[in-house]
Amino acid sequence: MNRNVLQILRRFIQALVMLLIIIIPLLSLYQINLSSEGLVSAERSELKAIFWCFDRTIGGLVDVNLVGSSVWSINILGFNLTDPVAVTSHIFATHRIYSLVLLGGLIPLIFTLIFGRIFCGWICPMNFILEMNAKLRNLLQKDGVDPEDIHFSREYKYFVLGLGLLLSALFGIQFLPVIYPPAVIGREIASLVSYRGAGIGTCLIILLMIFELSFSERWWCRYICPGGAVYSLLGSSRILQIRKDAEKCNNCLKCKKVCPLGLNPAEGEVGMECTNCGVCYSNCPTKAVGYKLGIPKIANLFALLTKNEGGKP
Amino acid sequence: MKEGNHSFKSVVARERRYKTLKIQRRDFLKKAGSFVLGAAGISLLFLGRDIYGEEIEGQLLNGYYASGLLRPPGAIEESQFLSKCIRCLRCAEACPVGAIKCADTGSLLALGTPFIVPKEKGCTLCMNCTKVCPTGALVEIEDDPVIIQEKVRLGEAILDESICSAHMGRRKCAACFYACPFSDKAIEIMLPDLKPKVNKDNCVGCGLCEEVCTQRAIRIRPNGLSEV
Repeated sequence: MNRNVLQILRRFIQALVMLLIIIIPLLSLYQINLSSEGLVSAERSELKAIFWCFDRTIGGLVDVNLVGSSVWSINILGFNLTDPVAVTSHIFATHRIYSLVLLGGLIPLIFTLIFGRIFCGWICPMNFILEMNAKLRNLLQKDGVDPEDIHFSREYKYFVLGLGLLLSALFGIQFLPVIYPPAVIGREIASLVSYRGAGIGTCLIILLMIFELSFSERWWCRYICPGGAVYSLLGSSRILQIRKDAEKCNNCLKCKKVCPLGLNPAEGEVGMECTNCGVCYSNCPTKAVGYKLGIPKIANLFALLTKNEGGKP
Repeated sequence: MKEGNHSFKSVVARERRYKTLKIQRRDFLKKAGSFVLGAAGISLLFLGRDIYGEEIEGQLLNGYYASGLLRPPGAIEESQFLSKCIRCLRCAEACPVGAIKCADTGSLLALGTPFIVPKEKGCTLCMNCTKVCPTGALVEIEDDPVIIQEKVRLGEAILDESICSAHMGRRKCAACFYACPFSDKAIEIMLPDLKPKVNKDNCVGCGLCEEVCTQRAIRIRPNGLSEV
């Protein structure tokens, strides 16, 4: 089987998530338009075509209460799914554990325990945007532009997470949703669609993209993201892991070159931060890199913590 | 000759050992630091509190910041609200009239939380938003007029009689009376001049009166703000 199929599937899922994030606020507006008998489309003529499409296709089925919001907290056919980052932040800010929130985070938690940081690699809209940004960076490099590539320590993201949780525990105000990109993107796109205006989140995201373009490759996901820290900790002893077959490997180090997070599968230094995105899997010329089922051990967590710096050049 | 070489080697070896020791110590410091931070976090988490306990007085510095925004129906007390709301805005998407908006940079720490601007669009009390909230920041309330009047308190309508045209004797208006979902209970009208009067005990603070009032004589004061 052609190994590129995995990447095509990943891009398809990412595009689907982006489409969902844009379409749900539009559906919400459509519902408002229905209940107010055309007030929205009278005010905003650019939405008329979209509403016409909704009328012809899914007009009768629209119920925003069934599918709602972005990847931060989603409701699929009446079933709540909440980001484990939101659950962590909620627990720290309220100092209590609520079954309602915990139940919402249960399915993503189980997925993370099995597949590791799969949310980052396959679903996160910010990762999608920044991957495209990195492609642009590569194109610029081919054209002769030589952007800086400053490396930071991977431990910074745990520090950011710890600081955010400490502040929310002290003040009782949640700080992570303010800086965590999937939440920010959901809010910003919703406000762009419904009020035709964006907040400070959009400015920050554009600044981040410019920073990654010119100073440090994949800076946010590799070194800073507090959500990535939560997922790394949860998926540190995941079952599905990237492993290298030493007999097939010809030490070309292509996997190290293509890895979005700057990890090094060739030398077995994947660690807890692998997103299982499968880029190394698809790009390996000798098919030496593969997915293996590992047996989770609690002791692995501490072993992996020490091996954490694997991705450093 | 041989001995000198040996001593040189030993110096290199010692230096290398020193370097690895240094790296080990740095690793150890990092790990210790993260453990201390984690332990501090966990101890803060359970600092003399029940895990499943009742709503008790909040966090160490809780209540230090209040935004003074008008929250959607079913919202809990402001300081608790800020700690519970994960800013997903599902309430805004569930609102069938588009009354719930997203707080922007101006509201500082409450960035991204939901609020209502009654002058633009008041709450029609459909209670959809309370049903979709995944965190319990909005407590679920049944869509029943009696229960709504009992439980919902967004804020409180305040009538400035010096601006109201009926009270000034300019014209007979009564727009607020007709807009009010609990007219005769929350807003009473005194017959000869149609002068409105707000009954504070029955007002849910939906803001429909503020939406229709052309004079802006009647306004909603959010729950968090104190009386001036």
